[in-house]
Amino acid sequence: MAYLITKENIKEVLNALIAAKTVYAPKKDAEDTVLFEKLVNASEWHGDSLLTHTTAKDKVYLQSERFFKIKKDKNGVTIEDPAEPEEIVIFGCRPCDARGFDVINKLFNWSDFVDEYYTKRMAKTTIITISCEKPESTCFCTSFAKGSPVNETGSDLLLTPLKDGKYLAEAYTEKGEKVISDNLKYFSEAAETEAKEKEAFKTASEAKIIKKLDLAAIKKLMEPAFESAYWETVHLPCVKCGACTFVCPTCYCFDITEKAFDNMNSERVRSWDTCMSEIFTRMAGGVNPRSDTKKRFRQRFMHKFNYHVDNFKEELCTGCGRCIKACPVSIDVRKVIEGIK
Amino acid sequence: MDKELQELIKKLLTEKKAEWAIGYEKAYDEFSTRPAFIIDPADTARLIFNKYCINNLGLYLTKLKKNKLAVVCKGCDIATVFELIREKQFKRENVAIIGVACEGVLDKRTNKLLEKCENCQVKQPKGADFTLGNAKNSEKPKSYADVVEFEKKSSKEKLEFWNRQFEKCIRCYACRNVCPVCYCPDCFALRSMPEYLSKHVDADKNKLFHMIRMQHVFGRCTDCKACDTACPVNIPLSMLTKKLAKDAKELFNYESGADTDARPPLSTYDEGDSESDIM
Repeated sequence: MAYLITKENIKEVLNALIAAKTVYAPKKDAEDTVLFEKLVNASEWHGDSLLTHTTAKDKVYLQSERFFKIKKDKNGVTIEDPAEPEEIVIFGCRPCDARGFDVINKLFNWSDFVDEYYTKRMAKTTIITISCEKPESTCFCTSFAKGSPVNETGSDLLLTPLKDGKYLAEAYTEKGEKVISDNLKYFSEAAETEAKEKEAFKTASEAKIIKKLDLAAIKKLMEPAFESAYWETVHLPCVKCGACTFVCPTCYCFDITEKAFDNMNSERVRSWDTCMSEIFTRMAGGVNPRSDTKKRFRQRFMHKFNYHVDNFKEELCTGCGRCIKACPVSIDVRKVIEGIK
Repeated sequence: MDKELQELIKKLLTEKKAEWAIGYEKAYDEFSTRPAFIIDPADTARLIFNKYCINNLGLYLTKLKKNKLAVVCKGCDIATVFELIREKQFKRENVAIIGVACEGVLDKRTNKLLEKCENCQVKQPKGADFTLGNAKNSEKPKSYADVVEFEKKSSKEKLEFWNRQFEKCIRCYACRNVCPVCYCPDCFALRSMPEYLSKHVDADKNKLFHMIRMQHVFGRCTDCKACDTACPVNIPLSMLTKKLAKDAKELFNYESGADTDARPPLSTYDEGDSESDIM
């Protein structure tokens, strides 16, 4: 069942959520950086930017996550597990961000292994998404099977702006329905015409996305192009920082490190890692299968648009375009994979 | 200027005065450019120069293992090339510096003129092998007013400001990797045995990383702002690099990239040296 809500009432709902849970929403700081930050009042919500500088990924898949602490004393060894995750709400992300969670959910629940640190936190996360009215030049979500400025994949509740400052609110999960039922006084029932209005919104918004890639055709080219001379030159501008991977809603690679603080205390931590980094694949003894920068550069695209598709039948990318914007040398993922030969 | 630039590079490559040329080309929209690497003289048509050519191409001189390179440099980027020559990363005769007159570059994120471009003394490049275009240098000297203003804050205020900045840091190392003088093949931040810096990302460890990096580039950093403009979360690293430049100037009367034979302040000792701490 679809509902309608005004922008003012969205803020009321947001305040009600803030009172009950930890709410992360786009917030702008003094340096004009827009990040998902913990809100204390709905007035802090910055809804004008299309995309935040980094994704909301780090609210569920922490950049550094302590698995446990080990403490030794005269009574023996005790292992301290992390605290149970709290209920959180990610408010105001975009369909590409929400779909990013859907993509990595499958990864962290792959085959017979469940990553409980991620999964437990995800189970307590409610994702409220806002459809995109003004896609930017870096957006390319429509290249993907499920991608669209109004796509609901990964969202519990989707808000689509319509005429007259109203939003169409559609719940897709129980968590999303609960947000509406708990705050029912702020919502009114939507009519058929508004569902049609959403269709028009979708058409208009999608028309603003200038680039649509034929990913199936590109996928076919990737395997044979593994040793192609193309990679010899295309990687040259890349400075091999990890900005693209750390702002990506789907990059999930990590490293696990153990640290002893002293003889009695230590911890095990999982931290994000990046395939762009030289030490990502460096093994004990110094052997490194991806020793040169070309190989590391190639890996990022091969993983996203070839290997991951083999394993999961979808790309490890949602077309948000953050990597293009964050890249210090403006490398465009679309151009790189389109140029493969 | 683009046509002249293309012709010049075509000539250098054809006459084998350079094996490779590094310039700029258009990136994904009208506000963005990216470094272009030209090997084939027939491939120069994509080269451009405009107010969005923000990257410091001196960065690639230590990355490409080539004997003869031609590199397009804004006046400020030439300081970087000179600094790298001073550090004996390559020989002066192996790099053809193509200086381009520049009226200032704009940050693609904000579309605003970079702070370093105000009061620029090298709009018209100095020390280049070839110079294209004409620009008038600023008559006013470089201003450190913003650093002086920040220095007046209390320790607590400074700490609060930087804690907030380093809370944002995602340790992607874009700042380090775009830094032309951060060319160590094995950065302390990536060492695991012994581990100088934990992979655990939090404000304290991020701060430690940035402080160590700043100490490492003191007297070498030319305040080119590459780290600042590369930061995906807009940490104003240029405040730190500008402070380094100011301290080098005030404490040691030293300017990085000005002289290819100079000895930087931290690798020399003189009885008259300032006793003050940098930073």
